[in-house]
Amino acid sequence: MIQRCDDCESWIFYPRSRCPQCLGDQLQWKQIAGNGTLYTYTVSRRPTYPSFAEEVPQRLAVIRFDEGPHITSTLVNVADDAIEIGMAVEPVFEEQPNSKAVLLRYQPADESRRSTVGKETDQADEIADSHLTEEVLSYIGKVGEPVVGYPISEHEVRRFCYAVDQLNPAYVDPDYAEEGLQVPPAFLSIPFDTDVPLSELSDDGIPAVPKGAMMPALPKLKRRLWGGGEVEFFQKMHMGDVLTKQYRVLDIYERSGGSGSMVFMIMEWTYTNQHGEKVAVEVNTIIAR
Amino acid sequence: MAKTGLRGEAAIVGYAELKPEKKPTGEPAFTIEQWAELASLALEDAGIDPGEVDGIVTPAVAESGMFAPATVAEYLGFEVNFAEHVDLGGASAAGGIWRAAAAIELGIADVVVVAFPAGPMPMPPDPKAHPFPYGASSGEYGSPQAEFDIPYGNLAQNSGYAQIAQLYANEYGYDERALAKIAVDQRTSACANPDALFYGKPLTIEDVLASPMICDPIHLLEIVMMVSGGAAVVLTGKDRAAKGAHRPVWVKGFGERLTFKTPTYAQDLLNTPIAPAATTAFAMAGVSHDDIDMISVYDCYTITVLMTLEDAGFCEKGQGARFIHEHDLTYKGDFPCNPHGGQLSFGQTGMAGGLHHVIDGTRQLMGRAHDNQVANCNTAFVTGNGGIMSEQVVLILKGE
Ligand SMILES: [Zn+2]
Repeated sequence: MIQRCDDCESWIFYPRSRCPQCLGDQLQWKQIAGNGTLYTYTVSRRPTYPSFAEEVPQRLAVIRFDEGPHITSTLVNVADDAIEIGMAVEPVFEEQPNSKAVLLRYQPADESRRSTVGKETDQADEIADSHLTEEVLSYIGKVGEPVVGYPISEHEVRRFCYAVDQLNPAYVDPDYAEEGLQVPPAFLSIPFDTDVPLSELSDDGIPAVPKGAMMPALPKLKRRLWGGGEVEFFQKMHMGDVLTKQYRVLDIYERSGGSGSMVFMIMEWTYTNQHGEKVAVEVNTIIAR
Repeated sequence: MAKTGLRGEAAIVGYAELKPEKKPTGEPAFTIEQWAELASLALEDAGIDPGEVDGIVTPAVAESGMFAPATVAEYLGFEVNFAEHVDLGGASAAGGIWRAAAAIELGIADVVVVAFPAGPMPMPPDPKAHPFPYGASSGEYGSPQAEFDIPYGNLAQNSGYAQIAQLYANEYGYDERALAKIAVDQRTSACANPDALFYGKPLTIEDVLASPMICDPIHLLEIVMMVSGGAAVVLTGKDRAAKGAHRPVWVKGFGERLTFKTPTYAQDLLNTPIAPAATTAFAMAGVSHDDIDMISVYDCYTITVLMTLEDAGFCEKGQGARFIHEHDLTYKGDFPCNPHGGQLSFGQTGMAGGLHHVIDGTRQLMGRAHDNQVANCNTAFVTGNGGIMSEQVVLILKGE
């Protein structure tokens, strides 16, 4: 559905309250097929924003609807050398696993240009040697036991700040502000015991599974990589707070890259304080390869 | 054709430039403190007393989300008749220069300071999210980009410029050695400018082409590096300028044009807003392309320079690569382009990057460039470019 102006008969995308050609307000929604041509594109070898790291290489496209307006999209089901400016393209609707949103991707209209590179890969080929067994997939949605930390103290905060060279007086100088010392947001994950004896560390020195967490065994994938994380804070931490964190597996999926396939595990830690108030939610990506 | 616009009776009479630094050595300072420092240096260079300032042009200041000019005026103790906050991305500085010149010609202001701080700032005790996490794109509630562009990853600068380059390649062909030569010639100039970030680090076309591909067809060494710094200039009218310490640099003509924000919504990405802006500026200044002794064009990417050369009319559309091969773009060449090194080799000092182009032209026209001085330099063509080739300002400056 895109808009069309009754007054000057131009097609409009993205939706406006008035027509950008004539400023008329008699705009009608019309169903269109969504077909178009590739106006221009690029293949981005670096993520355009950290949250797009898994989509690299991003085949960022501008599509020209047959009706005229341009739209932002990405190309799927096409190898880089088969992309040609001006080629006919057709829509591929992609539901997002973690939200209700549907993204409008595009693939070549000409089937001979399509290939399994890109997002919408041929599922049948992949399942054969997929790491995602039923056992692995059953971890999605699993919730861990709550882990209770130790009270946040001025002493610990100060030691942390010195260690990371964050000498902001609001964190380390008790005379700086009347309301006392603040707790830096980065302290969030600090006041917890790791509780893993040296003997249980894996070869790379990282606990195989952190306390309170659970991860499926992926016997063929030896290496774990940090794939980035985001923290959203809902309120401040205060001295004396005792945080509890709880783990949940948000998603597990597989992507094939140049060096074979990788499994992405998206995990969430929710931090609450002693009053039961939500302090922060941390979402991390671990890549097994 | 009837002449419209500026009469060319306002001039840049002094400037200040901080050395761009990848790792800042100075103490972090608030934007308003940096503003005061830059204004003081530029006024000193112009030989004008701070008490005479009656106009300011500023970008956003970090300490105050609104009321930027009032925040600056109060902090510096200026009582002004002309207070301008310009919000045109990389075109803000050039846009600020013509606004200042217009205010002076209208008789509103006599001495205008244009300052763009870009130094490190102290970390707040309670760090907030970055005010512009998506660069030029806006993720704010109700923003069309938040709904129609950001979810597809269409939000960074690199990819937008790369889309323009791909479209250009499809239409006219793409000579990557010509594009690389822009970066190489500018590096040669930077090697004669001790203030440049890449001073003493020569570059070859092979180096550029061997650097990693970031966004097809743009290589790493065709992209600016963001550094810290800051710059300011002082403008004044005819009478004061004649008595100044330096050869006055007159703002003879300008053009400004913008039609879109996200390149997706440009109907024709190959004919950029540079063309109408340049046409207006040349007509206003009453000069032709042959009169131009040097250009300082906004070079966030090499493709920006190529598009500017063509759309501003220095060569035919589609002939940019040939033009670049046929001319020596260094400060000592037959077509000096960005003799300070350009932002590619001088460093991109954030929003101040655009002001360095103005100062690049000014310094050459004043004859103060020392080792990278362009011979017989009297007329300069300067551009500012904001967003993804979407906001364009052209200036024609003349030393006389
Ligand atoms: Zn209309």
